[in-house]
Amino acid sequence: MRYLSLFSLGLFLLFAVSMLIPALRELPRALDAGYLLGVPEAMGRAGGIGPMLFSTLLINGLALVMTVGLGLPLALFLWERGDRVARHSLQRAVILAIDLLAGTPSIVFGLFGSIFFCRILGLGYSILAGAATLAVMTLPLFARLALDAMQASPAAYRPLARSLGLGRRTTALRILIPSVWQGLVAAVVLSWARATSEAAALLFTAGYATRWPESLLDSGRALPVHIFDLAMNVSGGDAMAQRAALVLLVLTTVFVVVCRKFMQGVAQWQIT
Amino acid sequence: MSSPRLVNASLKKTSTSRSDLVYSGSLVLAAGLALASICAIVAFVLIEALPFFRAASWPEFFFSPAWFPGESRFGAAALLVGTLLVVLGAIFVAVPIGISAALALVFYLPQALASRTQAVVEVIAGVPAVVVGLFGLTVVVPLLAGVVPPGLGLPAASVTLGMLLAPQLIVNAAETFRAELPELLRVARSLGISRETVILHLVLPQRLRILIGSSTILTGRAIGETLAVMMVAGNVIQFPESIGSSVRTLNATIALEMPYAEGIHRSALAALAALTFAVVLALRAVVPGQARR
Repeated sequence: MRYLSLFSLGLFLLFAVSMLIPALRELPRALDAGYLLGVPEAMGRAGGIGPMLFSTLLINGLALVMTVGLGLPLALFLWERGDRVARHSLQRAVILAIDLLAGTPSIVFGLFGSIFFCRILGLGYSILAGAATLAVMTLPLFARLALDAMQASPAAYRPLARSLGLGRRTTALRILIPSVWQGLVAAVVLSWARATSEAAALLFTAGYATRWPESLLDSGRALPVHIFDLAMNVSGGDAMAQRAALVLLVLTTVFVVVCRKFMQGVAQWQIT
Repeated sequence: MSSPRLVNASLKKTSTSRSDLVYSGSLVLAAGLALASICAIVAFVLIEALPFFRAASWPEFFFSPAWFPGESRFGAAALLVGTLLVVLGAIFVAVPIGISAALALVFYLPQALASRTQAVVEVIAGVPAVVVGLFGLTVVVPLLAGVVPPGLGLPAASVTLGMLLAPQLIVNAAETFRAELPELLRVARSLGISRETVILHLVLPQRLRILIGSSTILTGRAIGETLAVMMVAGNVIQFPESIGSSVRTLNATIALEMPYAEGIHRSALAALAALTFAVVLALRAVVPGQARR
């Protein structure tokens, strides 16, 4: 039992290391301004990833604004109705919808986005369409995490605030959100990580143009799409794919780890 | 604020103030928009799939492996079988490794080493799927090519997908094992029960429901994973003939054919998406409620 379980853990770690080593080996070449800001040449076999990096940040930044802009009110709306009759019908229905979408394959969002945003709304392959698709994808995740965070605040806050004569806006903005902001930041960070790793939903919404995007209605290739393309469609693109993967890992994983450390630090600081 | 009348007045003022109305109104508006967008997706996929559902022959869709969009023949059987085989293979890889690695983390490694290892596993759980796919393509496929040629196919897809699921499963299982553990171990020690017995006869049977629940959730994620699987599966539409055979999944078909699909073909792809919705819903129905999170 002991040896079996230690062997499994070892095997897993071996695989994990062999997954990360090829990307980490590209570190010296990835830390080059010519690479991070340069334009790709020969379908990505040479040159840089400047436009992709810019598109990634633009798409995900926009998506995050839309996600939080819609998801935070949704979570607040559900939190405020937490103790009413609606709990058993409305809130449940919403949570069912949220869970269903959280388990939906991202390619389905891609399908939806490419038909709705690109064709029906006429946005075409564009950064705006990609961002909107990503926002719809991360919205359920964010709303669920934000609602969880809000429900972790003391249940007495709402009646207490009301008895003090505070309005609903004041209760939400001055009492609820400050008391659960760490949970909300965690929700934002996780939504960011999920959106930044996404390729399937962007392939047919934001497109795969490798030039610098000139406007929000221009096509822009996100980093995961770039990695996918290099690995699948460009012979001899593996090393460049690993290099781009390293940059993507920094944008997602490392970012999340740093945020988590930061928040733990803040939590300890608040207690002492 | 000392006189009751003043308090009363301020109460009245704040609870019906204009800013509050504006706040509530904008909340309802944004929440409604968010809800609408969530509902729109499901509705949209179904509406898009409707022409296909009307025109399709159901036996062909479910039982024929002949998927020839050019001839308007849409048999999804090979895709369904391919998807299920890949997912089963991934579960077969991820669950034994995940659960026993979690046992090692909780019961066998020294505390300090275990918490560091767990941090590493958590980082790996956040690795983007496309990077795991790249690992499958550059490491797993060449490795398997010597064992079960040609390499691209069912085994590579299962291992890659298993590698994508394993870290999350380890984290979940370790968390499950840790719940109320010190108490259990203390009682067991006072009764003279060995650690192996505790694991095999107490912890595993007791937490089985939760483990099955989190494995089922991961199965849902496995069904949804598109590109990482597509990178290593070979993507030939066929019933697998041998263990190393090339397979194509439902989602890979959507991803591969969406760029040029028109008319009834596009509708058929939406029907495939609806099929995955159905699978996700069915999985959700069988997961025990407490394990859903």
